[in-house]
Amino acid sequence: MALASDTRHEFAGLFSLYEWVTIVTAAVVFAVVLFAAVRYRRRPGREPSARTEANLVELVFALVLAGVIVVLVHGTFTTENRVDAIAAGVQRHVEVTAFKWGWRFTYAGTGVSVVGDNERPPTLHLPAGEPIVFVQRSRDVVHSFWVPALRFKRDVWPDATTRFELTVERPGTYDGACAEFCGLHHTDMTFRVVAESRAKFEKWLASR
Amino acid sequence: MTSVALERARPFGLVGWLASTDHKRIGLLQMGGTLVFFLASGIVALLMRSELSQPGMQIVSRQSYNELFTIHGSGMVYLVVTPLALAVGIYLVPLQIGAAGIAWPRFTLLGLWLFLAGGVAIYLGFAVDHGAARSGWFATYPLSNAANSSGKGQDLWICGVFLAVLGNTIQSGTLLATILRKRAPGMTMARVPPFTWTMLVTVLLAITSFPVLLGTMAALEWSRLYGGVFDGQYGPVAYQLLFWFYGHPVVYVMFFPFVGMVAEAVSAFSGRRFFGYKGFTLSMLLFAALSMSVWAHHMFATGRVNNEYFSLTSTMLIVPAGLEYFAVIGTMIGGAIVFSTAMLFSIGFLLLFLIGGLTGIIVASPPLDYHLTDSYFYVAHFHYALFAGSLFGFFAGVFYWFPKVTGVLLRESLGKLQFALMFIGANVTFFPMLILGYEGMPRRVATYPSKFTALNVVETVGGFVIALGVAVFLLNIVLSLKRRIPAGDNPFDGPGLEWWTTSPPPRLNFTSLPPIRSYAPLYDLRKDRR
Repeated sequence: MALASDTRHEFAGLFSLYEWVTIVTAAVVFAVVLFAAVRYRRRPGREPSARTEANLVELVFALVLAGVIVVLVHGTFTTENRVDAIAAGVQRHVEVTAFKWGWRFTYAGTGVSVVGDNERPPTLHLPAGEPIVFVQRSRDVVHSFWVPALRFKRDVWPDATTRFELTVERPGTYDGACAEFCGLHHTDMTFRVVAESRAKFEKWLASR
Repeated sequence: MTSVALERARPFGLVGWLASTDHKRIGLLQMGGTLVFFLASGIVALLMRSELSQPGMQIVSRQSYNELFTIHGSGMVYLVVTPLALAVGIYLVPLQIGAAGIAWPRFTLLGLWLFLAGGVAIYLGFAVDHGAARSGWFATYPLSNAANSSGKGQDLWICGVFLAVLGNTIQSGTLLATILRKRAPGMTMARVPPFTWTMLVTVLLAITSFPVLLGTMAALEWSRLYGGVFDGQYGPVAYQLLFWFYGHPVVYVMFFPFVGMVAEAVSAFSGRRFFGYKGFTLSMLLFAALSMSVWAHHMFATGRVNNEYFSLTSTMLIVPAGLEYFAVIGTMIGGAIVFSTAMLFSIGFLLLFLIGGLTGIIVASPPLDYHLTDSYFYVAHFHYALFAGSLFGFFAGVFYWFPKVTGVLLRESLGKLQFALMFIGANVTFFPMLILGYEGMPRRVATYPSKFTALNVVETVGGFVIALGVAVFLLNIVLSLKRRIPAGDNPFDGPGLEWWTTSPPPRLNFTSLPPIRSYAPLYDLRKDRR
């Protein structure tokens, strides 16, 4: 059982549902369009059909589409509830401050913080396998905190705080970037995530 | 017998065109304007693709790159696809409903002037200190305020967007009045042709959502000059909500008329009446109603809107979209299909817009959108919808109606070459973007890590293949107008009233009208004669 906030796992499960619906729909429509184009090309001696509607077929088709919507929306809502949930009692809080064009990550309650900008992007150290609550605020314009490997991003606002919970399942190094266009050096407003074992992380934290 | 002068002598030359109250001239001029802006936006896109052909900075600076994508996006949305959709409506709607002209032609003309002035204002940004606007086509606040986007380029952009959208709004009003009040005797709403139906729902969307953008742009300029409106708590999120209240309906304004063009072309080149007309018109109304309630699906990752509501309404768009495909494909099934260029572009539209639509369903799911929004996946999604969808639909319309507008045929061989180049080019350019976005490449970046190089090279090649297709199109127009192959009144055996009159139509469109007993009056005549 994956952790409630294992966003990568949640994304993979829901994406595979949508991927299948997409591929099957595309295959069916492509096949029908090409079939119609080949089968009903103009040939001598054949008159086009005079039929102008097929209401029953259309109604059944609409109901099938409605069924697809129910399946997709159900999957989306249940997944989103898990992804958006912030468990009570999560110990580790990281305060994210975004600014033109860099990031400050502060480990709440420890006085430790790392900061970096577009010239020297910062590294966000995290303990792997442990839920972490992020609390974000921007100092100027709207930015967006995105770690593609975790399949998650959340905007950082100047006028309000946004919060979310993430768990990095596996130790490793991951790329992070600002995803909301924020001006001249938006391209270079990157960061790096280093997830390591709890012991290693605590050692790193103590060394700061 | 005495003859009566029905109209005053028309002024000649440029004034005759720029001051004309003939809806056909206004529509054609507006199409000409959008073509110029299309070529400009296209050149900007090629500059961007050239810059992105390798990691690192090659040909432009970071600031220039930001100006380029801002102008490319703004140009295509405000100055190309939206006014183009309305221009085709201005030309065709009166002809399709058997009217002698458009309602309030001077207002329609004013809309054209405002649109042209707006376009000039946006591009003038390149001539002022600090360059053109560089905060993206939706200019999020406070990025677009005076402190973060200094210089007059941003002010010119706001002014230009305001003028262009004001022009579009006015024209939407005149089109609505035309459809509601100027239909020929016998042309009930249930007999209005499919293209005009799509225009009707389009202008309904425009007159309800565009004024919100006008207010938002005025407030944005006020904020730049004096501060206040969008500062403080909820200011930035209020800006985004207001912007997308315009910004999503406009996506459908840039889509519906092109569905209508494809519907007409497929009907004519399948040699039969448009299939499922009632379901199609009902689905258009449902489509329009729903699309007014999906705007904040652009804001799933903001953490500040009710994601579930907007996800639900957005996913529900599957039903009307599916019914439209049902009607168009149903017209092909049982038809006698001629593979003209217009038909090929229609089929291309059906196949490639589908990719835009299906990826749209994916990003309508917030947990998926958290990852994919503002990435290249998103760029691929809306280019499949707007370029491979809407513009393919437009080209289907051009090849179908060009003989009506000019009296001469376009070259089919060049048209098919153009289709092949654009079909291949669009897929080579936009499909890799789906992969890049999924893998983590953000949109609006001037360079990227070297792991993304290979697919970016492929995209750049694809971009130039599309450009070649555009060049073939321009060549086709010039050649066809110079070495004229007369078309006659109804070369493709089309169903609508526009094919009843001469090519090109006279100043007041019709000298006579056939009886109108369905949405395909010319096919009714065919049956009578049989």
